[in-house]
Amino acid sequence: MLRLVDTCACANRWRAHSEAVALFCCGLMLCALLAPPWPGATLVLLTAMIAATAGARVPASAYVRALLLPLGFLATSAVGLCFSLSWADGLHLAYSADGARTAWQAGLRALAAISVTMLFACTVPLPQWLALLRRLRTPEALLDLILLTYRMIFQLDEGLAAILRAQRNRLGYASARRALHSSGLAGGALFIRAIVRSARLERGLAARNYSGRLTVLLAPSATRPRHLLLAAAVPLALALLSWLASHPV
Amino acid sequence: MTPLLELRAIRYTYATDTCRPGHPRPPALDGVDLQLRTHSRLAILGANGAGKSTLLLHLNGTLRPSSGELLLDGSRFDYSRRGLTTLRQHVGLVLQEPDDQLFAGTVRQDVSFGPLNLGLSEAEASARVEAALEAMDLTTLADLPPHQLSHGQRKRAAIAGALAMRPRLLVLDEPTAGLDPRGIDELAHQLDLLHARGIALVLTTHDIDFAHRWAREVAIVQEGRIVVQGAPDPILGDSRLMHTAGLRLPIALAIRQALAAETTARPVADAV
Repeated sequence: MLRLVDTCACANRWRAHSEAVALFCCGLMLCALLAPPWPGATLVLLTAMIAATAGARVPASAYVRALLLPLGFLATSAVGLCFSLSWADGLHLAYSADGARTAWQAGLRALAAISVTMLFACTVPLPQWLALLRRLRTPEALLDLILLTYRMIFQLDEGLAAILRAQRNRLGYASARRALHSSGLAGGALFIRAIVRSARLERGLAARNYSGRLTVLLAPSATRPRHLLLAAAVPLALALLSWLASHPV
Repeated sequence: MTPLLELRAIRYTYATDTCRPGHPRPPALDGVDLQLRTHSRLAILGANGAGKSTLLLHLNGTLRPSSGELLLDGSRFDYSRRGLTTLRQHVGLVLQEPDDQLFAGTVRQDVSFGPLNLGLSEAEASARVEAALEAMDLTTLADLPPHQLSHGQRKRAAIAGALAMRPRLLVLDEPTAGLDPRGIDELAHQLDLLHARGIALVLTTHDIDFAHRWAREVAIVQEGRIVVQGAPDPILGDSRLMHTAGLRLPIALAIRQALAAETTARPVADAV
């Protein structure tokens, strides 16, 4: 899923407009959290989906797939709110109407918030994101850490895939016991690989005069004032619509 | 003429080498002498563990020798911070595994790392980055993250990263490893272009055929020593030497020798 989101972020139409997308997503997120779930959160959900697929041209299937994992957690929590288990007079499963209402409201709000988060993740590549954070004067050490973590995640992901493939080829996952043993070995091997890789990376950076700062050229931004205006106007319009709907004249 | 870079009696032993108690590990480099000139085009060959990569890591000061000295433009190198900055500006190093070098979010950003570390302005660094990307045919891939590139493209990105520092000598550790034949041909072509621009090139390789057709000079490393250095044909055609060093003859020379042997043997056979 990580690669899916990363690929979308690097290939979408809005990839060079990080400021506008960030403003847009902040506005939508505020609407999702503050406006009433109906219709506020619903409007945010629809807007985020349309913005991602029609605006940024993120493939709909990819966007939905990215939403599926957090949606699974959400569904599990909602079931927990709707039903309660009791052992007082034997095992007893009870449905709670209040719980269902809370689950519906919280679920809708959370879904809207997740869809906005995914819109941001699928449209802003990390270099743009870092450039934005640097313009906002985020401490350099934190930015370096984010950058290295981003790079290492994909390197280790490749390494883990190779380790798992090698283990599967030798029946490392043929039974639950072997699978547990193999997973432990894979974790250990990955840890060592990470240490070795970081030492090598340090050597590679030293060859280019690394002196403690990972200074690179910032990704240029294509955002213009009209983009920012539009990015602010849409969430404001949603907030207004939501307020009007919940306060009928 | 003063060599660009010179190693004199370099000796190096890895401190962290694992070895049996009472059996100290032999030095990785044991008295290496090497001169590299402005137009060098040298391939360093040797079996695994012979000391090739260790030798390369000495050329840009990544490793400091236990004894011996390194001379840059005839001056003894002192391994000070300022000295290392200067040395690494003149000597670009490309590691065998490109992922050991690429750290940034995009290829363009990664290539900009070296020039910015040299204290160049953003405009000047940007100009160097674009030139390096163009030289390595990476302009269209410049805004992609390294993990979305193929292995060959990552290798080129790593070379571009070193190239953007405008080195006079470019040192490449196993540049052909993991490349398909087309990738090797493309790399050879790009190295030719760099050499034509006046950049001296030194590389290590296990690809004897590539070394034979690319290098103007070869050096054979064996047990931490350069046992022979000179023009490719006489050295790579010496089957006894190559066998001792754990190498084989290049195919072109092996065929030439086989044909010569057959031509020599035929009159005898005809006479019989």
